[in-house]
Amino acid sequence: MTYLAFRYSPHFVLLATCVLLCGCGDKSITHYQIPKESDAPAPAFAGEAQTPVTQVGLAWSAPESWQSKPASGMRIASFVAHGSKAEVLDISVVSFPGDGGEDLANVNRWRGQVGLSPLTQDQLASALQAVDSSAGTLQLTDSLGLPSSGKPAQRLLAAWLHQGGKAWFFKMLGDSEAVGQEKQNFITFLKTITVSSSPQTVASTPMPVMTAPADMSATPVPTAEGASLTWTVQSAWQLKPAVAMRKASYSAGDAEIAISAFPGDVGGALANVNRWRGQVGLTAIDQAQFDKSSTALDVQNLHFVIIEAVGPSSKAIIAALLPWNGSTWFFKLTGTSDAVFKQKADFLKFLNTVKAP
Amino acid sequence: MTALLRQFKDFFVSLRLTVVLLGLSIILVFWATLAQTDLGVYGVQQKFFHSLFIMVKIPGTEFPFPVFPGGYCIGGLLFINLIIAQISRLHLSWRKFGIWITHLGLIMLLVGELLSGLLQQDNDIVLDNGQTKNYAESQRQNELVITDVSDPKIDDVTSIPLDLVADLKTVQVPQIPFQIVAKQFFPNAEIASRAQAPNAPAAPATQGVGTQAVLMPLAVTVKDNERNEPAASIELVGSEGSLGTWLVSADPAMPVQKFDYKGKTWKIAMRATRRYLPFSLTLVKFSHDVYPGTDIPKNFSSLVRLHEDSNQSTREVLIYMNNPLRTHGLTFYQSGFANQDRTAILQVVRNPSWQLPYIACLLMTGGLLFQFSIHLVGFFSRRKPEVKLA
Repeated sequence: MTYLAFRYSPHFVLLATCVLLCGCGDKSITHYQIPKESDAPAPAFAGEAQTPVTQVGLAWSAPESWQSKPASGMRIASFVAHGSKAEVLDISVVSFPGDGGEDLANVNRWRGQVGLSPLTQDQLASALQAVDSSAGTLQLTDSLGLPSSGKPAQRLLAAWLHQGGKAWFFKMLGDSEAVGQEKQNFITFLKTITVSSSPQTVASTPMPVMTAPADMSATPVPTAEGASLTWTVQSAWQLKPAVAMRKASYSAGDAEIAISAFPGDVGGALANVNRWRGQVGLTAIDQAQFDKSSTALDVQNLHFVIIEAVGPSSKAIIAALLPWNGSTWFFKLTGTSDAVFKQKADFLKFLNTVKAP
Repeated sequence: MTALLRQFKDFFVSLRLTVVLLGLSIILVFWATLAQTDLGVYGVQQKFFHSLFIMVKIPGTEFPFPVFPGGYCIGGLLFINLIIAQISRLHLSWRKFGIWITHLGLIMLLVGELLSGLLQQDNDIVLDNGQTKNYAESQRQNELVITDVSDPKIDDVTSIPLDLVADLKTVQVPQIPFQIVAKQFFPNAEIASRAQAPNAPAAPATQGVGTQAVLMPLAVTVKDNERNEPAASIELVGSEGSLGTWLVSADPAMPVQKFDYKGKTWKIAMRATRRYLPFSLTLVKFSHDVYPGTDIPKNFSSLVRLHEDSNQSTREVLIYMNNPLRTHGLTFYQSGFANQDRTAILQVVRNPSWQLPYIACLLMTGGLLFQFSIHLVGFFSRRKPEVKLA
């Protein structure tokens, strides 16, 4: 009986074709018009993070010398410790759903924060130390940075653990000498970590809410809080309509100047510089290369860090970062390399006009 | 009849084929039941029953290989087997009428299941008290939409299926003066403000709210009570070059992202696939009744106001368990609630063939009753007791 199935395969092909054609769903691009819709206000950007999230988590016991701080943002717990010379050490506990990213990428990001070059996969194993706790074995990495620009060296201890479908990160950051003195306490703290037997309330404070204006193209955009900086633009520059997340945009010949500001350090200068380098088709650089390639510009009490990047396809960017008043301001000149470097002198003059209120 | 046709008929008329197909059906159902653990109900439906073959990737490759007949294949062969057997074996006569009707009902049941699988659409309308909507949203599918919002009265919407985004395709449509280039796709991801995770890697965006966000890819969920929220980084490329890269996410908390280009204002978003309705529904009140003195639910109901766009008529309808609203070929069931009883979730089902299973069951019942009745009457006729005269 079954040999017929092969002998009359054309029939089966016909049947299969018919059913397959019937099964083809509507996967095409569609275009239609609808009556004007109003943009519903989005709820908290972090979704459930607006309300406390109850879940089974980890518990720990911090050394008595550490001072507990209120949890904030993604931090589940924060502590402050002090070195022998009153240096401030920041200790944080953070968790992310999933695996929290690749170990190598995380370690290299932390190394970048203290000015160290990235490790290769082969070097990673030797940079890790296992610390046993009743919640599982943590991987600890110790990144001892180098002094840069007259600043003392930083040291970052970071340990992580996968528990309850989440990746848990425990970090201590601060002056290298003070972190070295406090390292044993940090390891002792890691050893106290246990799986919490009772539900633990995470995020005791509401997460910051990120909302967008009803119409970003016509209304001011949410930016860093506080009074704004002021500046004077070149007469040849033309103000462009406000767009999302920008304080102002100008067209300068064929180039564009964009000014934006965000709370905090926005991932750090190096991360942002590497993002811009990626936009123009360049590879990422490490902290040492960043220090070498960036220039400083002091205008009154404002300290700009300026970088330039020219990509292989003639895309170019000159950007100035300005940490100010708890926020980071970005002044970016972008366009083709010809257009950008034609405006470079005017752009630097413009930066000299930036004033704090 | 040629030898070829005869052999073809002999194969399909065979009762052994029926038994083999029924055996395969049992294995299919058993396998699918076990697979629900990993795939969920919807995934199992798609992979095992709404398919010709169960495809499994060859280990180490992305090449799918058929390993077992799927629901459409077994059902289709059963359908052909039934029809050819019916025509070949049964002759039209009153004594066989019941079997004819029963088989017709069975055929209708198979056709109804096929049509349901192909044509049925399940969507949701989630309404807060007082909220009005004129669209339903897919429970599982998402779309990338580019909307020209320049006109004060009309929004011009272009919907791009997420399959194209997942394949990282470049899309160019006549209505949009720029190309849409999918750079990265995450089938499920959590988006949060960068202020919450300053050390997390930057989201892949240079424009819009994505520049302020961090993205954490999550494992795809198959649980029926969870929803994947895909995200993607989309670069828009105009005639003069890149306009920037936007981060879009199906997370309902993602703010609206607009930008200006060539004198028009555009909106870019990823959202649950919408199906617009020729009417609008307003949730007047959602009620969650419990038995007095307990928390045991007694009834869930949604009082909705239905406003027809065509004739401007308005009427109120109470939707509750076993009392759905049927209009315009759609059925609205009370499906769930949220937001501390302030939000009603209505399931919206379009199934043009929903009546077929009922008709099929009636036909089969009638046919079997008729057939048994004939045999019963014949039986009693033959066993009629002899009357003895005193």
